[in-house]
Amino acid sequence: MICPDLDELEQYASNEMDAGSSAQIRRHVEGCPACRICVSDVIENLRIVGPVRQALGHAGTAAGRASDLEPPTMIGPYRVIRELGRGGMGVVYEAEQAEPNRRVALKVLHPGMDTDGRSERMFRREVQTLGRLRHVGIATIHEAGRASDGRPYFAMELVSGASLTEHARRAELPLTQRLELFRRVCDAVAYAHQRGVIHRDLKPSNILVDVTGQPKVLDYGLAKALAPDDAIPALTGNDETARIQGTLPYMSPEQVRGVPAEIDVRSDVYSLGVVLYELLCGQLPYRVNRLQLAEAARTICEDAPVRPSALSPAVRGDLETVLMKALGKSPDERYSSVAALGEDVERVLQNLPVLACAPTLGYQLRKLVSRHPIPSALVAALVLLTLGSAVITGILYSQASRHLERARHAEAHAEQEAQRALREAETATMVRDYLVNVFHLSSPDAARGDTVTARQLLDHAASRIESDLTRAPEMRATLMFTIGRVYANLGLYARAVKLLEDALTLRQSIDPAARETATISAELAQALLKVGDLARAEQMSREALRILGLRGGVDMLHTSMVLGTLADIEQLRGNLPGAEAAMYEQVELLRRTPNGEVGLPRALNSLGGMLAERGAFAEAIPLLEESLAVLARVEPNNHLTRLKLRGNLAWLLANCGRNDEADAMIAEVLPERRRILPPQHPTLATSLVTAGLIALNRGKPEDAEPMLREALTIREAAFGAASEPACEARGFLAQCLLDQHKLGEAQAALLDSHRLLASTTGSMGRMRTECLQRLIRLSELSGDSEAASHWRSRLDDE
Amino acid sequence: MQVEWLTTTTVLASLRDYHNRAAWDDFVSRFHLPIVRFARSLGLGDVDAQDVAQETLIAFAEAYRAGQYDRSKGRLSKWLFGIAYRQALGQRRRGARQTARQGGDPGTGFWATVPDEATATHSWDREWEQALLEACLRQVRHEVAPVTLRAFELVIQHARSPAEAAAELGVSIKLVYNAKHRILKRIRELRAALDDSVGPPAAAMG
Repeated sequence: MICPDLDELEQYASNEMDAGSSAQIRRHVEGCPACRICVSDVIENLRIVGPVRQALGHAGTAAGRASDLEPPTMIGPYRVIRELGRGGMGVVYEAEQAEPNRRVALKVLHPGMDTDGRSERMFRREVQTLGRLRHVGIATIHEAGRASDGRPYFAMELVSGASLTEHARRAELPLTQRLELFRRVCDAVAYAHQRGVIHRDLKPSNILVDVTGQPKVLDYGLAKALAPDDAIPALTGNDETARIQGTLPYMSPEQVRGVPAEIDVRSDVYSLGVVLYELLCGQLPYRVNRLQLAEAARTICEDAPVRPSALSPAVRGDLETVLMKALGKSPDERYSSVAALGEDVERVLQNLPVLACAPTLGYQLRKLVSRHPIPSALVAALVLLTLGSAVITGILYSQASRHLERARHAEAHAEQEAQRALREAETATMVRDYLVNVFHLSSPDAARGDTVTARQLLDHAASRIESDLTRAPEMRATLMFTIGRVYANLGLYARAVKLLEDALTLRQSIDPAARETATISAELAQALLKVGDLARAEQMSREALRILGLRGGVDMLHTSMVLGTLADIEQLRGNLPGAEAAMYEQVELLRRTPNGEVGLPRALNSLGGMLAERGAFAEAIPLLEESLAVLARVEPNNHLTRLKLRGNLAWLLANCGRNDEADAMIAEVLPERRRILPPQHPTLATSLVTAGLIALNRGKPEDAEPMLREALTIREAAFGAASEPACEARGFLAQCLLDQHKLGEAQAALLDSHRLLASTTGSMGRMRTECLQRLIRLSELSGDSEAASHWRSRLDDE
Repeated sequence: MQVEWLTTTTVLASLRDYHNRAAWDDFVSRFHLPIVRFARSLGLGDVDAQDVAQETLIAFAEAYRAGQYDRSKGRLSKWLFGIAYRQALGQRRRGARQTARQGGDPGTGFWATVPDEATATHSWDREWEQALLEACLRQVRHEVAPVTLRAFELVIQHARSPAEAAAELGVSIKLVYNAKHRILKRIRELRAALDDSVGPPAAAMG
């Protein structure tokens, strides 16, 4: 056999050859000294391929030296965008995945860090811990893998936002919103506890609030499994006891003492207590950062924190009690779970008695009245009504008796009259019994010591209708309708639908053509609309119109309400022409109706908004002007509605380039809205966008920018980054940045917009087109003809 | 053209002259990059890592000028490692304190852990070896024909198959295999000739 080629020898040396050929070459090599040396060389060469490949990546030139400190371009299937953070064990990059297209946070171990297996063990623990947690409040892991240089990595949800405390500070959140945010954090941590995972390093910087306002718990790198679990690798003695784990100011006394066996979910309760303290009081309960470790540990284990109310007067009473319970020195003094802590925070929000307090009778009574000043008054009124109804019943009985007495004397007519009176008396008795039964729930015996809320009374009332008013169908239908409407007003649409359907069935059996039947149908249509059942909502609306039509069109207001519902249905279906037609019909009907002016401003405003949505700003202007004129006649003192209509009119005028008129109007509206509304109110954002657009139209993008940025922040927080209002504000902001030649910032805003608008339709489609047009302009301004051509072809595809 | 390899001994000897700017530049060009990379691997950012390299080199030069460095007591790389590790830990502590003073979170958890000395040594050795290999590569670039070098880069750096590389360059597959093995062998020879106790030849020479 002649000597094999180098490629064959390499395949042989790398064991990449089939058995037959390999045996043949082995026989040759054994007898050929030259080939033996060559194979030996090949094997040695193959050993250094890895290090040489890495050295090639950044060797030699000055440019190579610079790039050496830059992030790698690709890690696995991810394109690295920038470095987000760096620790002793690894790096976190922002990266982009092509399929599915998304931005991720990519955590990669440093090369050569895993000398004793600990790093990789800790790495796998974090991957497997995160893998079992799927919760909206916990940053999700997507996948794990190895980079081409062998380093392990994992990709997880990229959370862009500020830390919990920073977010609260920047947004100047009021107390209730801070508590609401914190309660959502408790939900996420409690979920992890249910899955057997303790975080052990909870602190504001590990809780980010994203652009939608959703808090996300991060960094389960120190997490501990509650029970032995095959899915999460166990920690060795070295991993667990050799170091104090966590962040000192947020560590529980048992963590500070460094005994892992004592750590359970109540350690997380403590850390969350510290987070809540900081969130509400603006400082930590113990300032231990500047102390020596031993002194810091003693402070945490022995000293009492400053009373929260001494730092922030708003944090008093129940809230202070909740905080102090969470910060108990011993785990037994704290809440037994994060869920219990979250529940008490919710109780504080609802002004309910907290579990952290002893439930004395006086305490509960105070809570009841302070919680529901209006419902309490209503309940008192209803009790009086019940008593009143008892009196009325008595009177009715007495009248019935008198009727009976008279009937005995007046033969023919008396029998009939007596029967009617008895029916009335019977109905009154049933209503009285019904009300007594409903309110019986609030008696101490039935409530078993718990406070009964207005909602519980309502639920109880709904559940008793079926059994209590069987022989009074009209009364039953009326009550079902009333309670159904209350449910709808509370946003409990599914319950509302059920009761309104029952009410409708009952009413149809009594008189299918009655006005009440049409009213219930109309109300049911609105509830069905809210639960997304558009087909049945339309059916009910048509039914209501049919009945109202049968009645000769005398009830124009009800008819117009149903037309409004039909317009909403069409709008939700994306049938904008259909919605517009229904709105026009509604407006025309109200114009023809003598008392229709009351509903006209709202209807005209809705129609104007609909026209503006399809870009018919000029057509919408007279409608808004009419709406303002009508409002001035029918409700001259309705300042808020007038402000809203003028704000909308300013928006329309600005879009038509009538800047002077728009400017004058918004100059009145914006300061007034700033005065009246909280700084995060979406309505304020509308005025800011209008003012920004006017400034843009006037060629003053530098004036527009701060207003548009503020509007975008408000809208992202209120509706989410991908919402239509946020996309609109972002689009104008991008325009504003382009006008100022701030190309880098404009590009960031436009690429964000493009990503968020990628799969949208309707008016969002118009925004997508505008976004592409701006991207073309950006590329042209940057002199990047290739990019411009790319965006042009995307625009052509639209 | 064969490039002359200055020994580190020569460079260090020149370092004794405080006014020899060229000697200082040469010294920095040899050791700066591996120290920066090492400091980065301990979790420091760019600026802090550059500071660590600067402080390490100044500290070493002063110790050397003061006659404290004795080659018989240990390899140069170990000596430098000791200084760089201390500087990096000090820089981390200062950074953490400053972050805490500004109300920030200096970072905790597994990812923020400071590697222990054994792990850090491993990381340092890796960076040192990398620097030596890079020097060998710079030397090789001067010794081989452009097409040979390109064939080598395509299969090693860009992970192309020899057939793909041959097609791209319009040469035979055999030439690609030869290029790969010839250059790898030469790198091994150059690397073996480098004394671990000195250090990487200066990048500026390549």
